Amino acid sequence: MATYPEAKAIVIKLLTGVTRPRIDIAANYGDGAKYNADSELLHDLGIPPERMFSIVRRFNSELHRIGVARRVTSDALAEQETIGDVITLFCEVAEIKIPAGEPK
Amino acid sequence: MMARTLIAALIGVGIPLSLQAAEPNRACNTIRDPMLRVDCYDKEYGLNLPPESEKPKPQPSDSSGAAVWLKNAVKVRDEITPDGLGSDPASITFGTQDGEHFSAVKAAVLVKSVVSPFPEPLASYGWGIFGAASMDRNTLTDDRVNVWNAKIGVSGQISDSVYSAISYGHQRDQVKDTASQIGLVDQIVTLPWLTYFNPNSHAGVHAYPRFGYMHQRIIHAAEDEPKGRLDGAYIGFYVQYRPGDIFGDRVLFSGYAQRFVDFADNGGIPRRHDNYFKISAEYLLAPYGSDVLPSLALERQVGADPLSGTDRHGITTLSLRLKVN
Repeated sequence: MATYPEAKAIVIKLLTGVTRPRIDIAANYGDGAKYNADSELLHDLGIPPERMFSIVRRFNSELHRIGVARRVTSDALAEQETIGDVITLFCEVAEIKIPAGEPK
Repeated sequence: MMARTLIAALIGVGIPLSLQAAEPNRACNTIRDPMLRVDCYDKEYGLNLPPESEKPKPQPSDSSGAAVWLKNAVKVRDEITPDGLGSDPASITFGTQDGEHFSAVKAAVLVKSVVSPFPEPLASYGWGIFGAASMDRNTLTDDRVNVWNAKIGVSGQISDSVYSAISYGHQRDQVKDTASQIGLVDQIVTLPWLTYFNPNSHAGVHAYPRFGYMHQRIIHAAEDEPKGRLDGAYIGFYVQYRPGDIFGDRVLFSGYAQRFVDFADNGGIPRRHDNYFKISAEYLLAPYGSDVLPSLALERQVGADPLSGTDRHGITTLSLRLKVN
């Protein structure tokens, strides 16, 4: 089972892989930085809902890697609107406790 | 003598005890797996720990758990797209066309699984189930529409680039007095090079093609209308353009074009060869990221869309949309 920071890093890595042109989210992430949990996938990162379909297998592969048996659906992933939404979904499916104040 | 015997008894008891403790420790030390080694020490020192299955599991986040599942599982939209995703927020429109006042309602409720209920490898490919119901009606005299749809289906990835939805449902057209059973196999193709984004200006464009097969069995029709089966195929192309900062970061343009052709029928039903176009311009009345996002949308639809059941018409609407995040 992964920790919350590990889960957050996994999600940011997955989202970075689907940006076009490539945006280094991790390098610009955090309080006062360009991106944070409220950053919108479409508006701030240019990721439309349909593009989220293409990372479903990688998302589920990461769940498998950290020992989670559950798998998320394509539809659920495509409905996420912010980076924080995706982090929350990952943690909820993996039953990882989200610390107070997170995701941010 | 008594004292000597007592000392011997104490030693006699003491020595075996120390030997009993030393031997298992050496045995535990040889276990390479740290978890098994700890278990060995626990048994050795008599710690009565609960079995693994009884240990408390990690707790999901305090308050957001149910809300997250509800947010992801239930959606309110304006229509059910063939893939079951829905598109824009539900809308209520009041307008005038050729001097005639009219109102229109487009609303759909979609329920979908967040976690895959299927075994591998379907689960890893994101396959889930969904159900949806929708209504599309207006009060126009000449172009009156009153169509109800309900469907259930499964959806997920065929590959990283191809999303597929297979559904079966019931469609009731109150104006034409028909009822149909409809089966759909819909594919969306997502290609990286059909997406472009400028992170500085927030301008972006994305597009995707779709194609599919539709089986329609008309089970109820007005007396002089034929009943029977139609099989058709369609191809469509969707594009959305966001000018970004050029228009204050509040404008969206989108367009959809579709060609639908029936290739088989029985019962003497005329085959359909329909084009359908929808273009819209949307102005956001609040900045991106607002929890409640109202917008004004100007939309023009031309042609017939057998997938949603709307007949041949050209209609322009200006509507107030309300999206709740």
